[in-house]
Amino acid sequence: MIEPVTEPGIATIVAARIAAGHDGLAEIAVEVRYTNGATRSMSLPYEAVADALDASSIASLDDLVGQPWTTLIPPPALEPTLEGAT
Amino acid sequence: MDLIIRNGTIVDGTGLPGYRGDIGIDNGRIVSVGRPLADTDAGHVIDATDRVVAPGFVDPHTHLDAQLLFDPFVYPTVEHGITTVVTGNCSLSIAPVRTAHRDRFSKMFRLIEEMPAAAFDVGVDWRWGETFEGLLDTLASDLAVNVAPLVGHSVLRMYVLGDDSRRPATPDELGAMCDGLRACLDAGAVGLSTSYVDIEEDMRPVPCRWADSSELEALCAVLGEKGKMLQIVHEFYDTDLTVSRIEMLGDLSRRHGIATTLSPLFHSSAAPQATERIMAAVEREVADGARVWPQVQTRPIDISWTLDQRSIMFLAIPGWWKVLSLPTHAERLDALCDPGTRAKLIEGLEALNKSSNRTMHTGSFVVREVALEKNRHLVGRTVADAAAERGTSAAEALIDLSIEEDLGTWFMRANIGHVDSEAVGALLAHPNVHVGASDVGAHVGSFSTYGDIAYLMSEFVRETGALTIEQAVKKVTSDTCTIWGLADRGLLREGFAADVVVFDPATIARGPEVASNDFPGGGTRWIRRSVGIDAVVVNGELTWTAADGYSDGVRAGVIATR
Repeated sequence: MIEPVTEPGIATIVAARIAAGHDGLAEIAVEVRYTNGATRSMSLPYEAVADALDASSIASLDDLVGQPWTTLIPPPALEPTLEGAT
Repeated sequence: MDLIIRNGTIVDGTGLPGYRGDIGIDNGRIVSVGRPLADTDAGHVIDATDRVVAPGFVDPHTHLDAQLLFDPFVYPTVEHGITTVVTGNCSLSIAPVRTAHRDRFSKMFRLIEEMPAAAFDVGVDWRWGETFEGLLDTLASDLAVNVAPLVGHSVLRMYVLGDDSRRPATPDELGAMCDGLRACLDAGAVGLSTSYVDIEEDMRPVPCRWADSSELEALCAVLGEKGKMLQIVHEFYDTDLTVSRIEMLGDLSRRHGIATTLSPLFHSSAAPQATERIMAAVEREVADGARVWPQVQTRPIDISWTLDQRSIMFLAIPGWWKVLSLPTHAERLDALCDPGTRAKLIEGLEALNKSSNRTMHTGSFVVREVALEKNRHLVGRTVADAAAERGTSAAEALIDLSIEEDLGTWFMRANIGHVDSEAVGALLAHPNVHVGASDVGAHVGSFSTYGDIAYLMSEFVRETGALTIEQAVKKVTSDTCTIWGLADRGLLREGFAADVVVFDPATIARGPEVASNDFPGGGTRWIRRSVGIDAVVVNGELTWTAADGYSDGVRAGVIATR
């Protein structure tokens, strides 16, 4: 298990598991908690986050817990924002 | 007559009890239902004794857009009794797409629907140009199944906004989108599809997700003008958001007079109250006059993998992700053979065996496909069986078998979700549930999406009795045609299009999942052949029979919405 890295003002992953995703494909379901206490669930195709996991020290779903949600953003620096996601 | 189907049990799609009788077909239409036709001559006669004769099945959620362009039978869709498919789901239709956007669209389609790149690039030649009408003309010229095509909101947005589609539309652009949607609907689109979850390769939302609420409002007004359908992919992973989307769809449905559908809706044994809340929301909207149809798939969810390429499974096994992410085949093989690494990998698998979730136990994994003929007998059996044969632990057997087969062995963790047959059966039987979400044509490299309706018949009619055969047939024929506004289909009724399936209710099933290398450009996809289906008739033409297979020269399919 790697050490959680919390960043001020950044939502944190509080749960991660494999679950049914779009079309019944297995995806990574994560729950993030915002600094104001609100939580939100997301489902991500693992192909979309594989590069991000490579770039971090993540080696299992358990390692994601406690990490900032930006851990899931792939390295070619994209703006880490959820804006535009309705 | 062209074709007579004699002495079958007619399950006509209305949900009423089946009865014995004959069906007569001429010039692509049903001309006689139930009356004895023993003295009538016909070009072809099918003896349907002990068989069910039903309307052809309709699949409302497919991604066959690409496959239809290089395979008019969309093999093996037709042999499962499917005579009509809805394409263009989830905001992604293959037109209208500007030439300049083909690459971006292709990447989106391949990522979201897991279409092999080679098959897409070789099979989709864009010979129709850019327009929706051109695409439908091209399809109609070489079609063995009926198609009801949705137009995708993401592609419509790209068509109008250009490369800069990650922003709200201007009033002029919104007007152009509405005009574009009208043109697509006039050309034969059955409705509009949109998504609230999908992403592009760079993790940003697909174009339709950048729309503001006024955009969907305006597009739904156009759907209302034309009496067409709205399909959405909702935030299926979040019950609160799903309930909100259902309320949104209810509102849009009532105000614009449109039918709406959302998919997927799964049952989760871990959170059974989620589906209860969602269905309660649907019931409220329906009671208030809306048309909101959640789509529920029939099959349980599996994960398959080899040790030769990274898989989501390796994130769930302690210590596996980094090792199986090594860049080359040789490095992965060396790591698996290294005693120290091997011991750690086995330790990771054995840690899984302590999970209360038995689908995570190594011995419960299934050998899905093998590379060596000498191991063929293991296909379909568990890793525990292979271990017993080898006198090793399940973890050792999984690794040893993979090494022996040069990492070519496929394993499957079956039934990870949507697996409680009693609960799923009750959901499928619910009067407000639309049986669908098969996703035929998508994810072909991960699992077979073919055969879901046969699974409905085998598991939920024959095995559990959740539905009667009449209810099940109605769900996948006349209900679907009514929901989607497909006229003259979905019933065995005189004057209706002669889409008919003849099957054995005692044996109908989806066949075993097998690898197939038939797509252009090579590569493996997973399919299931049909079991227990005798004949499939599309618009009066015998298109497939169990005895003779596909009728190569027959192309009776049409754009069902023209």
